[in-house]
Amino acid sequence: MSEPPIAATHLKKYYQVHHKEPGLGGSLKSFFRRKYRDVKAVDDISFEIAAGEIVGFLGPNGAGKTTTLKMLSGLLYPSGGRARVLGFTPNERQPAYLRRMTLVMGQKQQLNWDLPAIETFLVNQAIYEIPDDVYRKTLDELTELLALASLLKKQVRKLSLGERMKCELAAALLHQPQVLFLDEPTIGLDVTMQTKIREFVAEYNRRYQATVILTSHYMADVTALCKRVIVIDHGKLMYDGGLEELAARMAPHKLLRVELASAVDGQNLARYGEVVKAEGQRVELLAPRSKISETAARLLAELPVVDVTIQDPPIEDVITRVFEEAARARQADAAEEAAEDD
Amino acid sequence: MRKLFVKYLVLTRRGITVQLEYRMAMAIWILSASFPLVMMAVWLSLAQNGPVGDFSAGDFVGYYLLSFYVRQMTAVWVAWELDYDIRHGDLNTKLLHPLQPIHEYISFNLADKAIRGILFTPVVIALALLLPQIQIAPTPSNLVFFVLALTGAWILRYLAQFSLGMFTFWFSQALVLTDVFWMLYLLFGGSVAPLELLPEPLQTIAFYLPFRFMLSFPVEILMGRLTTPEILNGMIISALWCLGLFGAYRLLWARGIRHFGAFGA
Repeated sequence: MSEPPIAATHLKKYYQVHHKEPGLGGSLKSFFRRKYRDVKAVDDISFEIAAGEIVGFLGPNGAGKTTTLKMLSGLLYPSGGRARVLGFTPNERQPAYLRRMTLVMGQKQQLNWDLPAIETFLVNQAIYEIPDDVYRKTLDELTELLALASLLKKQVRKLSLGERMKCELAAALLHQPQVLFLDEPTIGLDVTMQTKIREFVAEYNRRYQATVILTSHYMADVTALCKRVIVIDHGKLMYDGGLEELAARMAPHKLLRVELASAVDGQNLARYGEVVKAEGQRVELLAPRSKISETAARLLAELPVVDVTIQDPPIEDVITRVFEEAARARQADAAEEAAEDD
Repeated sequence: MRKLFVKYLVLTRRGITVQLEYRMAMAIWILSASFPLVMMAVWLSLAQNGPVGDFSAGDFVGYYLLSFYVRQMTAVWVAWELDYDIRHGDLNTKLLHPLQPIHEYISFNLADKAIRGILFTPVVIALALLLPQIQIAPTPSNLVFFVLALTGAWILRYLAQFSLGMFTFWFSQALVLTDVFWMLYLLFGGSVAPLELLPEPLQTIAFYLPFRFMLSFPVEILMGRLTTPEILNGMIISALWCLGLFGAYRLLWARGIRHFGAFGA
């Protein structure tokens, strides 16, 4: 097997950020003497992604997800380490590379606001040198998959957010890129539209064996599409592996769903674990992962149990908890920097 | 080369569609470039009692009518586009395309030139034929040289403004540079007064600066005020300026993109 399509090796991006105190006084002070501080947007991240994989990037705002995607797509120069995508060094921006990848940013657009989307498609056909027959075939496929037929000839500014996003995706995929960087492709969309975009990404991945990195704030996007996730927080890689193992590693508890023959009072239940929910005979308990079989055995022996299942807690909760804990730890370290946002 | 031509064709076509969407804005833009007609009125009133220097009233009419045409056909605003795109991160979209971004900017300008060319070429030709006292010399060779010099003027203005616009990579208020540039253009390009009427040290300076070749030079050619050696001489100086500014563009772009890549938007 040759080089993997995407590889980051000790990738780093440090910025010098100009630091200004609030108000006019702060502005004057910073006019005469600027204070800078280093921000480590991406701090020594390494990973490899195999052909055809869909990998989710998870992390709170400012974690370094977008910065990493921008380095991989060649818009930013790494401050250290290196990125390789499809055998190219992205920041050299070689046309042969640019023709085989795409970056879609949910908050930016390439479609011309005043013209119908089809105009941008035609321009992209020329820019990407797509032969007529290939263009027509791809456009037909995308039109069908994304239900674009009625949208293509409408002025982009008259489209809804979701319709526009579908057209953005089509514009970004006309040249059939093998590597897709999708940065918040579902941001601001309603649940139905999110699902459609999600299904489309899965289908594109299947049809073209494309390699995809996806960032999203919506865990549903990630759980639906990605078997593997990379968790980044404050520029550091915190986890890289299967979505299910993430829960196992990061959540020290498991969830016991218990159905009882008759109601048991809360105090009694609390002896077995943290009570999450208790609605009559249906109870949910969080118990330490290491003692889970022991706890289950005690439950079965001591309470009138009809049924019990052991599950991982919902992934959203796990992730939220991990970031909250990391944030608390940092806040204790550097309380004075917490106000600055990046 | 053929592929690049196709890209230009498609991009320019879209540019025309976009500009036709903004009919009002376009009309205002075009009017804002009619300063030469104001200057024509000023100089005509001065020339009423006899020629100013070597310029009769008919010369002023010819000079400023042609200036108006050259201004229209060399209008450039790419510094503002660059400034916006760099500061808002819209440059990213162009950087992701497998095509040097300058081509996308140029094709948008060419779209504008196509529209203005269709609007103004007949008007200027009609006026040149109708105005009785107008002094111009549209011989075939002068016309050929005029078209060449006009193209040169557009290239110079485009590269100069593109280079100035790229300073936004480093300073967020780089557009002030275009104001300084504009002042020099008005004076040394021959907008305020024909360069022949400038006092002496300024006239010689103007001869070597690039501004003359952005406006006055094609006008002088079509008025028949230059001998063939003078024309060829001017062409060489103009070509050297083109090369110099092209070098500046290449250098600033390479460095600027590095800087943009280091800091992003």
